[in-house]
Parts: sequence; C-alpha cells; structure tokens
Amino acid sequence: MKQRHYWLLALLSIVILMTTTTLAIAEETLISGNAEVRVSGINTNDNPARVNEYGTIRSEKGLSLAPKLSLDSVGENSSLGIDVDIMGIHDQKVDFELDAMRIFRLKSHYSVLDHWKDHETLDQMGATMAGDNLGKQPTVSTDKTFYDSGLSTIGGLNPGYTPTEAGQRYYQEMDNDYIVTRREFKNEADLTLPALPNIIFHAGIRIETREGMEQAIGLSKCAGCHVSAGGKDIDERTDDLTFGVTGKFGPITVDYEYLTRNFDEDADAPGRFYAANSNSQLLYNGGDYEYARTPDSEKDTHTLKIRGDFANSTSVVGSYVKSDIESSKSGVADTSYTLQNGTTLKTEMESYGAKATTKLGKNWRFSVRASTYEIEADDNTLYFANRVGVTSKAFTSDGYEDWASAEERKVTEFGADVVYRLTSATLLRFSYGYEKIDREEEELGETETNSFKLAIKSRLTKNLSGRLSYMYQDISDPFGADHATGIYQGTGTADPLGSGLSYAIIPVDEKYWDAVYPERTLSATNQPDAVHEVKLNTTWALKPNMAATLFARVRYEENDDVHYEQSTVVPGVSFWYAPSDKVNLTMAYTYSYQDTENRACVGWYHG
Amino acid sequence: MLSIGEALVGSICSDTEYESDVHTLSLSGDFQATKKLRLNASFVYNNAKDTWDWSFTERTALGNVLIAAVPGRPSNVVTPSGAKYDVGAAYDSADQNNLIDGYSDLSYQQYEFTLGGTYNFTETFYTTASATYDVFDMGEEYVYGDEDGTAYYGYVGLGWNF
Repeated sequence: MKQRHYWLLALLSIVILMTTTTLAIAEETLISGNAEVRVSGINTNDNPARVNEYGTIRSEKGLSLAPKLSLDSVGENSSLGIDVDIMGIHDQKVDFELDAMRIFRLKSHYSVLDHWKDHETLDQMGATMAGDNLGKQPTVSTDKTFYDSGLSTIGGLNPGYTPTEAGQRYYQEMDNDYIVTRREFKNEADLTLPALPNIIFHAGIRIETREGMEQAIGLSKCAGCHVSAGGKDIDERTDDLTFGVTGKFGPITVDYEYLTRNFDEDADAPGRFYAANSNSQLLYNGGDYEYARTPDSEKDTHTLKIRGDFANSTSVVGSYVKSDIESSKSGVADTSYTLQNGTTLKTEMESYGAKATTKLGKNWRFSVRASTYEIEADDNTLYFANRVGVTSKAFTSDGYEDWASAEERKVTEFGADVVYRLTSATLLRFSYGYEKIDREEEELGETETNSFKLAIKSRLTKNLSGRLSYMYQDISDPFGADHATGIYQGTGTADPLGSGLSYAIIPVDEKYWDAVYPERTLSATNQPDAVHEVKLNTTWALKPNMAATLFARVRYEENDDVHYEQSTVVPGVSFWYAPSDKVNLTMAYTYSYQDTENRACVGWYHG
Repeated sequence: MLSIGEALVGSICSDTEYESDVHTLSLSGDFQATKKLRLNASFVYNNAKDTWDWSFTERTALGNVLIAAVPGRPSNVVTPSGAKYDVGAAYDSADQNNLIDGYSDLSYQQYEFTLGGTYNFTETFYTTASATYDVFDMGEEYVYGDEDGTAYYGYVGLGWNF
C-alpha cells in the first residue's frame, strides 16, 4: 500500500543527507567513542522459555559475534552520533542521530528481539473436568485426554481423527518452540529551510515485523467441549508513514501530522476439524475450518494542534484528531458467514480538545480542559436471530436483534487544576475531572466518573523533599454487562442450606435461549464504582555520598453491586551509597501486594 | 422431586478471592579495583506467589429433590413405592469446579547473578567481560507446565577508545 510514498521519502532523505553531510564535513569536527569486538554466548538448561523469555544474545544455546560501536562527531554547526550494540543475531540495537547545519535532523533506530511466547499444556482444562466424560456437556476434552481414553468419539461426535492421531498431535504440539522475532526500524526526519526558519517539515517511517510461531487454541462445537492447540505461523508487517509540519507565527504554533498505517499478516491461519451437529447453524457446521486468523488493517489519522502562548504564563491549546480504521479478513477461505458491508469492518474516531492555563499573581496557577471524542463502528454490529417464546424449539428467523460493539461510544471530559504556592518550598494542588462515556450498546452501561485529587509537594529541609497525594473517584454504572450472569438468582428457588444455589424446574427439552440465558439476573464487571488512592514519594539526601528514596502507593477499589473489592499496596525503597570515590553501591526493593474479591457464578444443571 | 422429562437449571454464586504477593530486590555495585581494573556485580531476586480461593458447597442432591432414573442406568435411590432415582448422574459444582483453585496458583522465584569488569591495557586499548547466571525456579506448575530453567550467558571482548 502506498509504496510510492516510501520511495519519495527515501529519495528526499538521500538528497538532503548528501547535501547537508557535505556541508557538515567541511567543518572542523571532534570525534570520540569506542569500538569493541566481542564474542557472546548462552547456554540454557531445562525450559528456556521463562529464564530467557526475552532472548538475551539468542533464543537458544550457542555463540555469536557481538560487535559494539559508540561514535560521536561534533562540529561547529553539525553533529553525528552512532550507537551499535549487537549481542547476537536476534539481540541488536542500532541508533543513529544526525544534525546537519540545523537544516536537517535525522533520528534512526533499529532493534531486533526474540520473545519466547506462552505455551499452555491444556492440562488446566481438567480444572473443570473432574469425572470427565469426554466432551459431553458441560465438561471438556483435549487431544491428550482423547488419546488416553482410547474411545473413537468425543461427546458422541466424530472429532475427525483417531485417538492415536490425537496423541501424535498433542506431543508434536508440545514439541513446538513458540518464539517470535520482533524487528523495528524507525526514522524521524526534520527539515528547516533557511528561507523559512519558522517552519519545520517532519517525515517519519516505521517498519515493524513479527516472525515466528505462536500457540493457537481452538475449541469445537457449541462450547468448550473439545479444546486443542496448534502452531500458528506469524508473518506480520506494520508500516507507518508520517508527514507533518510545525509553524510558529508569533505567539501561535500550529502543528499538523498525517499518519497512515498498514498492517498485514501474510502467514496462513491454522486450521482444525469441527465436528458436525444436526442443527444447521454456523457454530455446528462440520469440517476443516481456519481459526485464530489475525485480520489485516489500515489506519489513517489526521492530527491538528494549535497553541497560543501569551503574557503572564497564559497559554491556550486546541486539538483535533480524525482517524479511520479498516479491518479486513479478505483472505479467509471460509465463506460460511458474511459481513453486512463486504469483507471490511470500518471504525471512525473524531476528537476535539482544548486546554487553557494562566497564572494569577505569584502564588496561583489555574488550568481548565475539555475534550470530546466519538467512535463510530456501525459495521461492527452483530445481528442475532430472534428466539421468541418459551415454546420455540428450533432456530427461527422471524426477526433480528442487534448488539453494538463496545468500542462504539461518545466520551465527554472536562476538568480543572488549581495550584497554590503555600510557601517558597511548598505547592498545593487540587484537581477535578469529569468523564462521561455514553456507549451505543445500552446493556454495557453509561459510565460517569467524578475524580478529585489533592496533592502537596514540599522541600521540607535542604536534604529532604517529598510529594503526597490523595485521589478519590466516584463512578456510576462502570463498564460491564447488566444481565451477564446469575441464572435464576433471586427469581428461582434458593438452596435453604445457603450454598448460593438458586434453581428452577424446567422441561428437560427446553432450549437454553428460552429457559437459561433470559433468566440471568445479575450484572458482572471487574470495574469499581469507588476508588481511593494515596501516593507518597520522598527523597532524602543524607550525605553528599548517600541518598535514599522511599515510595508507596495504596489503592482501594470497591463495587458492592458485584461484590468487588480490590486492595493494592506497593511500598518500595532505593538506596545509593558511595563509600569512596572508587566504589558505588545501589539497592532497590519493591513489594507489591494485591487482593481482589469478586462474585463469580457458574451454571448448574441437574437432570 | 423431578420426573423424567424435567430438569433443574440454575446457578451457584460465590465470592472469589485472588491474592498476589511479589517481592523484587536488586543490588548492584561497581569498584575501581586498580587504576586499570574496574569491576561490577549485581544480584536481582524476584519472588512471586499468587493464590485463588474459590469454594463451592457440595450440592449433588437437594434434600427432597431427586432425579428420576434414566432407563438403562443404575439408580442410587429406590423409594418405598418402588420409584427409582439417580443422584449419581448429577452435575456437582463442587466436584467440577474446585480444581480451579489449584490451577490458578502461581509461585516462582528468579535469581540473577552478574559479574563483569574492564581492564585497560593502555589508555585506549582494553578488554571487557561479563557473565550472568540466571535461575527460574517454579514452586507450582501454572497453566504452562514445568517452566524451571537455568541460563548462563555473557561475553568477552577487546575494545578501543578513540
């Protein structure tokens, strides 16, 4: 996509680089740095996936050539910096900076990193599989349990392969090494023409690739009756291209940037066999189908910012952002479902923001801010066939209900900050913020948040300074689903022994969509409706050669409606000591504690 | 009491608790041992332990609520009137779900020791080396199986200042 832009950018960069570098070389320059020729190596025992998760030197054992170069060249009007640190084939960082006559500035960065990805055994499926009956609801089976069983069906259905083949698949999959190599090449260039000194032209290009293999987990039939895993090839490429301009016109600064992003996944998606069911619906279709496909996407964003700087430390900032995103699964071979508008999902985001800051006298500083943005995602709406009436036994198509995407919403925010200088060494700050999230899907709630924050920052003595803050948030209707769980809770017969069970007696051939899903009475969320947070940070310079920092964060969240409560305590200390000019010692310790309670419900079927 | 052709449908709700404890300690230092030799050393220790507590009460049978036996399956209860009932076929939430606790527990320790140094042969010519020993020790297997592992890595090289 838009390859012509890359050629244009590359050509422009080369011309400017040649011109300005020639000018720069003519100057008298000071060159310094160091170069190293190294040999690096790694050896791992047992499982390398965690102990070497981010591929130090290389993802597997072996030796590598590991050169290093650091070079700084500084001239009268120009400078050049190069940092190369190569520890192995997939552990590399290269940084390049050029300032040529203050006309052309270029920053380039290249990095390579291996990442061992998660690899589940699927044994945890046994957490809800005690007394497993191989796929008969509500339990689940895996390739391993199917292999161990020696049976020929899973839950009475043909899985598409024999138990022996299931065993081969399982042990082959467990043998896979899930490693993804990430490469990033990033360039940002600024051009200031001598004839237009108040205007800076910007251009940038970023190319990110991910190659390797990840684990993909699929499940068959209408629920998690048979869960299996396979290797998913990764061959992703993200291209970002930016063009922009910054202009300064007296007190006004105008900044515009255009970003276009293209994401492609070129690897084939993995496939698996889905056992057929007698109901002719997509979820019950039988055969080999792709799963875990990553869609391609494109994004175009325009960003405009205008800032005015005036007397008395007064400034006004306005911003406008418009973004269009398209996501496509055009390469999907499975045509058993269709989107409303072809093969592309479209999302649009439009945002307006403003902020004003001013100072009153020597001791007061005020700022106010407001913003609003809207995300439209009409194409992402799901349509479900109506299932009306408790007597319906089969799929009907006499009408549809729609379910809008959670991302489709309007958000309004405003707030104010007041800063008061209590003494020459002490500042008091009070902040208020309001946010309203109006989601298109009513079931997901309309969230309003009022935030209050009080902070004090002070230098108590010459050697002791610190900051203490308290924040409170009152949140109404936090993100969640209103009728998500709790079948027959409060409407059925409660267990007199107080186990938390509530149930109803129904005809055994009643359908879930008549007798189960509409009977969910409780909301579910892991979001709070009240938050309290205290933060403390102090620095104590005991002596010229000794300093300590103490910090702590205590946060408490609650939401009584869903029995949610979360406490977080994170204290820490760091200490630096230099007993002599030849010795430096540092120590840092952090403790992180979190306790979360939440109501959870499981379905209960008896008979 | 249920008859053939009827079923119980409902839900069991209880409060879950997830607790996480993580300690991170790092010590580092460097030492100009001689005019030509500079040494550095570091130690990093991580200790993480997470637990999930979710208890279900066993409710296989609900007092006088019994399930009519399915023809061909053995019955657990035969009433004085001769009617047969099957409680063994029941879905017991306690039996089915309490293993979630065990598979959600996380416990590991990680130790990383590093020793390195630089020796200057001349003002511009030097040698440098570093070695690290890293241990990942799981206390309990999480959903990724046994992730115990050790790694030794490092480098040695010659350098030139200019």
